[in-house]
Amino acid sequence: MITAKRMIKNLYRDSVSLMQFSEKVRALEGIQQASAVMATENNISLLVEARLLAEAVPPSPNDLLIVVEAQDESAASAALDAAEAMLKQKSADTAQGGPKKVPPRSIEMALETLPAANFVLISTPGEYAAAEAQKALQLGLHVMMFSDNVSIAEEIPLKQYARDHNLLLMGPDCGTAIINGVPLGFANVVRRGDIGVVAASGTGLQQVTSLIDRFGAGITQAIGTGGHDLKAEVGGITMLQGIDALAKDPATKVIVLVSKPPSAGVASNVLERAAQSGKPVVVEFIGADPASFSSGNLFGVKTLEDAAVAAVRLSQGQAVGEFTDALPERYSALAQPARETLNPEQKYIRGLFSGGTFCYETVLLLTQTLGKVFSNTPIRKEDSLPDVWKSQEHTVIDLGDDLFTQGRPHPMIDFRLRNERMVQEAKDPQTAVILLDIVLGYGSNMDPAGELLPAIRQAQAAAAEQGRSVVFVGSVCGTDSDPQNLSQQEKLLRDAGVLLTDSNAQAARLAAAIVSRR
Amino acid sequence: MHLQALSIGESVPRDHFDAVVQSAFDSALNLRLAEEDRLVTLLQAEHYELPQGIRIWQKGLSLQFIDPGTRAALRGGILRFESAALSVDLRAARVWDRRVSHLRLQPDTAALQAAWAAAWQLLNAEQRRKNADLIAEILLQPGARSLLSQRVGALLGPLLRAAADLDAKLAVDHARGLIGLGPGVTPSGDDFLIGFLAALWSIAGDAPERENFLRAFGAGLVAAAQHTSEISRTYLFHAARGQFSSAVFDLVAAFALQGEISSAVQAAVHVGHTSGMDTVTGFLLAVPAWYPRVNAPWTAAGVLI
Amino acid sequence: MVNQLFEQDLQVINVGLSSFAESITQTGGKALQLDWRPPAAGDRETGKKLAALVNKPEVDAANRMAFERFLSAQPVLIGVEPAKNAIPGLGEHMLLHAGPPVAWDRMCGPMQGAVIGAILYEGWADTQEAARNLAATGKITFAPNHHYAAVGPMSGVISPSMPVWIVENRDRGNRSFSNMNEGLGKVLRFGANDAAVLERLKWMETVLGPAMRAALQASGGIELRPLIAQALHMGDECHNRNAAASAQFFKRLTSALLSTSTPQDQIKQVLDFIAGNDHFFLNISMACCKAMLDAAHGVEHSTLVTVMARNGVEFGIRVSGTGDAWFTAPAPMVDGLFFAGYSQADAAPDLGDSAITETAGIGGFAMGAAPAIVQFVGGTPQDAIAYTREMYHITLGVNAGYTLPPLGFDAAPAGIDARKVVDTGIAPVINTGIAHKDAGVGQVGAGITRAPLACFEQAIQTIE
Repeated sequence: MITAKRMIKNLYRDSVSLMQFSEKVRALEGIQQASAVMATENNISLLVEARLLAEAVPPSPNDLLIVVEAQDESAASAALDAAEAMLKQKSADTAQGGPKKVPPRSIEMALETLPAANFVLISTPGEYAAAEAQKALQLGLHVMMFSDNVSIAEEIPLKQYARDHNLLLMGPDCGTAIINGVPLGFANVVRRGDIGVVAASGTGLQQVTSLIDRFGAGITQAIGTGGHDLKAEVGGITMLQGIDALAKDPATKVIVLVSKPPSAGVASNVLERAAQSGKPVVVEFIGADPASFSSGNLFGVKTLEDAAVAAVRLSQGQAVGEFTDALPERYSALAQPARETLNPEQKYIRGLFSGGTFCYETVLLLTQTLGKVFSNTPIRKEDSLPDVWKSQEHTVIDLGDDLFTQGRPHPMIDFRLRNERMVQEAKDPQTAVILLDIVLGYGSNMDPAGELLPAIRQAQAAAAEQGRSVVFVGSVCGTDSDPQNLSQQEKLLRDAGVLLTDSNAQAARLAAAIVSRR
Repeated sequence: MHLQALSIGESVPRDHFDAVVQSAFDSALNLRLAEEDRLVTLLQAEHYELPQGIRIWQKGLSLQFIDPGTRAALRGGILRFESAALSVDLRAARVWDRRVSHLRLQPDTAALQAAWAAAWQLLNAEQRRKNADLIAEILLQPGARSLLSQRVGALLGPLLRAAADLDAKLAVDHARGLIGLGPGVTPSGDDFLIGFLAALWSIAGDAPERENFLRAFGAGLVAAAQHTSEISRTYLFHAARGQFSSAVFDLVAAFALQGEISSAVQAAVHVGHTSGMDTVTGFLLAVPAWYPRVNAPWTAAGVLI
Repeated sequence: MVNQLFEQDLQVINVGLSSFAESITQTGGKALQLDWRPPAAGDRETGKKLAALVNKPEVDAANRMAFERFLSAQPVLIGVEPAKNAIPGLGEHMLLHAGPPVAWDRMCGPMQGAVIGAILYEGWADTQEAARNLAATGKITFAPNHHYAAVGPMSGVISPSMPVWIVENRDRGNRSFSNMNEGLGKVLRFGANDAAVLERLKWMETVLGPAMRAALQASGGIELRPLIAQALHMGDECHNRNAAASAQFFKRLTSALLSTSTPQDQIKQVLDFIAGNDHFFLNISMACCKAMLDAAHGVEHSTLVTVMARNGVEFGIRVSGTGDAWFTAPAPMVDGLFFAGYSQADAAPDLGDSAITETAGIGGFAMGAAPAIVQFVGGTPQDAIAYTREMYHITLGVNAGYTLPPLGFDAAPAGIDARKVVDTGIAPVINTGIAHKDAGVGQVGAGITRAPLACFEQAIQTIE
């Protein structure tokens, strides 16, 4: 249980709404107690006595003091944000002095207010999402379904309807997309340019678009298909539509496709359609052999980073060139000094990931260089981690797996679980490298570095007690236009001793280089 | 929109002032006077008067369309708002200047005591119904249920005794603990003190020592009111001078003139969310201050001095 | 069209997490947040059924046709006849009642009282006891008014000898019927059945009915929509407030009545009776609404609601495209103001066919035009306008013939679409009188209630 407070300057609401307001805040998730009072000396001392305020604050009797008792920090800050927003809201209707308008309750009703709407973003619980998507499509609107837990049986008719009516249906389970420069769902703020992306993986899309931005280029559209699109039953309907749309789009010069390897039939349809696009298409089927689908205007690549690099080169009119598995000089220079801080017993990498595709790519790359890598989401069944709460040898964990998210926010938002696990790994005498992904953008935690740094210090302290230190390696997926600001986050992490690479793939390779004995 | 003010409180400057909108609610807009540390309130109400009020009545109008920080000025009896399409003509408004001190409550009469008992019952019922933090009869019991009522309860006895002893300095010391205490834009403790003052002003009569006590007590409260919100401070400023809202005046009048107690109490308790109830609580608990020993309903209710 | 999207400004309707709307707005997009909750109280099957109907061309075409028939109706009050002569199919020993079907033993107090009164009035039994026994034996056939194109307020009981208003829709030729209003106090529709009540019913049969028939014949009938339109401009909503409409009716009828051969003393009785009852027009208003809605009933695929009615136990609706089916739910209690001495504990659940007015877009739907009604049903004039505004979101369109002065002469919302009700969760508002739960006490208050959403959800499940 924790308490948190916020002072709102010079904001008056009549007493009736303050009381209703306290009740509303109390009803928010994870909130036990809430109170909103004028910040007078007597009220402050009353709140301290009631243990709703940790210590007295300077009184400012014309300001409103909101205090909450919450089960954790994130609930508290969410509640305070919600509270502030509620208070500051002044409905346009009240302002006109007319009768209150009913807020839109259905998509059709919303069209009365926003008649030029062209898009519906759905993030309701999965069981209701398909019905809302159907209504939206029937009303002629493009759709992104952020919701997951929508069955394939529901997905297929929706996608067929969308295709037949030339509408875009991204998802279900589409975590991110960027349409006309507007980030939707969990997405980064990426410069506009001439590269179009279609991706079946949310973090894959975020990595590729962020790296394109980092390398100085930009995107036209980033279309998410949702995780099931390339399954044989669905047949890649959205990806095929996406390829067609980008092929026709005059602003798009280069196309990038990102997915785990699709079933054979779907892959050949996708590649055929990509070949017909008449534009250079970079294909990243994560884990598949790039040579097997490179030909003509199709350029296969092996990592998400390579996909971004290839796309940027093509966009700048250069040749795609060759890609290598070798660690670039600037990173291998980091490996040697890091290796020297380790004792002989420290042999293993412990990867703690918040992005599913980052975890997947890391397992792939480490398996290639180090051999066996245990994971809760292994590529080979026999590498399944017996106890997900305890690492063994090289272990890479996806903390976004359902196993870990029961009753908790996603690890991109709530860092507690990963932070605890970092300290746990640091206490293991065999841990050499703790490998991380850090994801910025809308929807993610607003200050990941701020969340990680205390835990990194705590982990190092735990290791130091036993006469060791561990090496932290990671990559930050984001841009300088993201609300968290990429450069600032990277600086904070570097200053704390974290070895950062530009991409997830290079972080995996750097970690591997550190633990590979001479 | 050009509106006619229907009435204005006695302390509103009638010809000229400069002000800034301090806060805006649906039915009230507070103006901070440039020259003085107090507010003037534009009220949108069918029946409600304030000593600092300018009352208008336009059905369906919400005053929230004017943003805080907007400048306002009264020139030649017409109040205008910068960049807001509203002006209010004060010139023909009736002046509201009723004083509770003219009503002269006499707590030793049977009629008043019967009224007190009825009001006490209505008040407590209403406080329980609204699940209010402060419930008058619980204040008097040891081990009150909430921290807030424990605090108010602990200050109540000493405050009443200081008033009974006409010791203004001590009364201010105790009252200070109530200033700015509790929920609401006008915190409960302040509302309580306003009711408390209303009772004393209406009972004081011609006794000069009581009036001296009230002036000194009032001045001390106004000084202490630096520790509460600006809106609350304005109400205390007027209460210290014996000026109250029409709801408080009507309540006192019902007691003094043997009017319809239940409707006056209902009207008074329904001001704000808890403000009205807190004011009535202060009022009823102050009635015995100068009449402690009569065989009265307040003795039966447990108000001890 | 996907490529068209790339050339437009992104305007997003956000269904779900509101933080997504914020990030859209912060990055230059436009977003509108829905106040979303699962439709049909979270019942997935109904939700899916509903989704399939949204913007469905066949349904929209059917609704256009049904709504057009509703709007084109020209209801004219043409006469008064005994029910047995006027209402086709009304048999011997048959009693009609308000709301969906209900058996004798399940009827609410006021309806049972009215049934007993009607049996005594018809002379089918001599005593209360005998009447009650007769009702219980099954020798009386009970049927909803709505099965016979009829409507009646409160218990709505119509027996063969009672005079009924006849309204004819000149557009399609269909007729509708309603009993005549007895006034307030101890009256049959609230279950009173003493000698005074029966005597008044007899007088209505022998004096009022024939006088009205003669007057209507002399006048050539009265066009009802212009009269209602005028009453809406005079502060009526023609369900719970009929003061202006009754006065207008009186005005149009008086000279016609004087031109008939009705004896002078009877004319005086009749005019006094009408002048003394501000609700006299209610039953005519109801028959007018019924004639308009029946014209729109029976259009395949249409989701237009054509009946909302209550029997004091259940609330029932019928929908144009689902034929004779009733969709019912327990009748709600009415939230309202009670006359002195009465409280919610005395109230019967919602009762009567009078919600036909709301179904046709007046009553609660036109409340904004009747600010004075709030003194009767509670709330403020602003609330009344807000109710009317809310109803635009669940209706197929507006009735340009009925305009509402307080809403800037906007046309009144009309034609409830069951799809929109379920999709928005906004239930039709009904403003109504409250009957005492015991027979014969009469009206104890008035207030506002909402049609139960469950009725509309069932309809959505059924419509094809």
